[in-house]
This record gives sequence, structure tokens and C-alpha cells, in this order.
Amino acid sequence: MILGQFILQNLEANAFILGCPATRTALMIDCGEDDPRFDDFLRAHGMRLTDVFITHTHDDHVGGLATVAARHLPVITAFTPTPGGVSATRTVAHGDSFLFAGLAGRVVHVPGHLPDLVCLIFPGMVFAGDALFAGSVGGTKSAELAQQQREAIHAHLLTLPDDTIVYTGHGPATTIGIERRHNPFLA
Amino acid sequence: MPYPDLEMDPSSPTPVAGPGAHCRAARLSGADLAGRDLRGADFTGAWLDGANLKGADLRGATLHLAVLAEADLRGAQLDDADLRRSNLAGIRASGASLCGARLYFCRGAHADLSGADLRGADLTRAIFRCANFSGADLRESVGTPNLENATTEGVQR
Repeated sequence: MILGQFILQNLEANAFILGCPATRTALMIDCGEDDPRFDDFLRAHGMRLTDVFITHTHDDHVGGLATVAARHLPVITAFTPTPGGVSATRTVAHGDSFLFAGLAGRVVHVPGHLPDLVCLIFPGMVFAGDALFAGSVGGTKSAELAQQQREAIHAHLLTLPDDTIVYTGHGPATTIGIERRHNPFLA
Repeated sequence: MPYPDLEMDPSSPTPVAGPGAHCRAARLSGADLAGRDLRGADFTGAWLDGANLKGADLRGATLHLAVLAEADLRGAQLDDADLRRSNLAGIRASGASLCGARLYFCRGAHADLSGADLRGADLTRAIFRCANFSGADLRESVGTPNLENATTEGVQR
């Protein structure tokens, strides 16, 4: 698998393209804007964008979905039926499986930052959206939501192996182990 | 050439780290690079978590998006290094020199930067919760880092 990380102008959110060299297919995780580098990356690797997974529906994660979807016609997977005003091909809930190019993934629901936030877990890595960052967690609008998010992170993310790489919605990557040991919000 | 900020291909061989080396996205977790001359090397997005970089010369190195968590950077030279969006959680960097380093948007919970020289560093949007900055020199640094619950006794500003 090849992974491209794109730091977007829209609130410096991360978008990712996970590509399979064998099938020449690609999965985009979040799409905060339509960045011309997406297509350059796909062309450079001879890949076709077949899937988009949306972690949550804030604009910096779905703002470019409509134009990217219109151009590539991917299968769109999200928790909500209409992320960014686009009809999802498939809606998912906590515990659902997600298959991409033979890679078996799992969806976990981590509400708090937004009610519709889901993380995508593949073996050895997790795309966490704005649920978990290096040294921080997603902002919430109340103490109750913060507690809800904290419980979901502990139950569904911190139970992963320490060496699991966490690709976050903003900022650098991290691992579950690093966050377990150093994230002040998870103590 | 337009390209992603970071491209990772796990099938790529691990490069040899040296001056000016291209180590983008390299997996160097726990590597022993103590005292090495790594001036100007490109470690963009590299995994250097837990690495021994004690006394290493990383002047002008690019560590954008690199994961340096829990690395030993004591006495390392990082002057003018690009550490934007790097993960510095739990690093041990007491006495390190970071003059003019770019630390924009970096994340350094529990980092030990006691006695570090950060004169002229860019700390815009940097977050160092629970870090140790005691005796660090922040004169002429740019930006106001988040130092919530950090130790800042004797910091020079």
C-alpha cells in the first residue's frame, strides 16, 4: 500500500489517499477541499480513486467532496447519509466492516467532536479524523460530550496495540502507545 | 512539482542516515544515531520515535511531520531545523540547541526542553502541554506556544 498525506489549506486539515499498487485502486480518507495534487498523485501512480471514506462532516473534512465525487464517481462511505451535501453510497455504524483492496477494515464510532464521527481501523493503522490527535483530542461543545468522546477513545482506540499508527485529521501522525503515555487528555 | 506533503511506501528500503541524506518517511524508530552528522538531511515524515539522537548534528535538517516522540535529543544541534508539525511528545532534549528552528504546529506533550536554546525559534501554534522548559532560552522566539501545565521556571523571554 502507498499512502499520500495532503495538508489542505482549509484549516490545515489532513486528507489521505491510500493506494493499492496491485489493484491500481485508491481510497481517500476525508476531502476537505478539492486539491489538484490529488489527481497528480493518482496519475503518478496509475491509480483510480474508487472509494472515499468520511470520518465526520465538518467542512474541513468534506468541503471538496462534491467536486471530487463528481469527477471520480467513487463509492462514498460515511456515518451520515449526506456528507457535504453528497449522497453517501453506503452508511456505516459502529462495528461495521470496511473492505478496500483486500484490506479488512473496521469502523468505530467516536462521538463527541461531532455526533457522526467515525474512525477507520485497518491492521496496524487507524484514520482517526478529529477524535484523537498527537497530544490532544477533538474539541467538544460541552463537558458531557468531552466525557462521551473520552470514553469512546478509551474503549475503541486505546484498546488497539501500542504500535498502531494513528493518522490524524490535523497535525502529525502518532501511535496508540505514544498517546497512551503522553496525551494529557487521556490520563 | 505538485505532490503530497508526505508519501509513505513501506516497501521502500530504509536509507542510510548521513549528511544531506534523503530519509523521507523512513522507519528509524529506536535507531542509534547518537553523535551523527545529519546536517541538512531530509527526515520529512520519518519515524524517529525512541531514536537515540543524543549530540547529533541536525542543523538545517528537515523534520517536517516527523515523529520524534520519546527520542533522546539531549545536547543535539537543531539550529534552523524544520520541525513544523512534528510529534515531539516525551522527547528528552535538555541542553539542545534549536536557534531559529521552525516548530510551527508541533506537538510536544511531556517534552523535556530544560535548558534548551530556542532563541529566534518559531513557536507559532506549537503545543507543549506538561512540558519542561525550565531554564530554556526563548528570547526573540516567534509566536506564543501553549504551555499549559508546563514547567517554565527560569525561562528567558
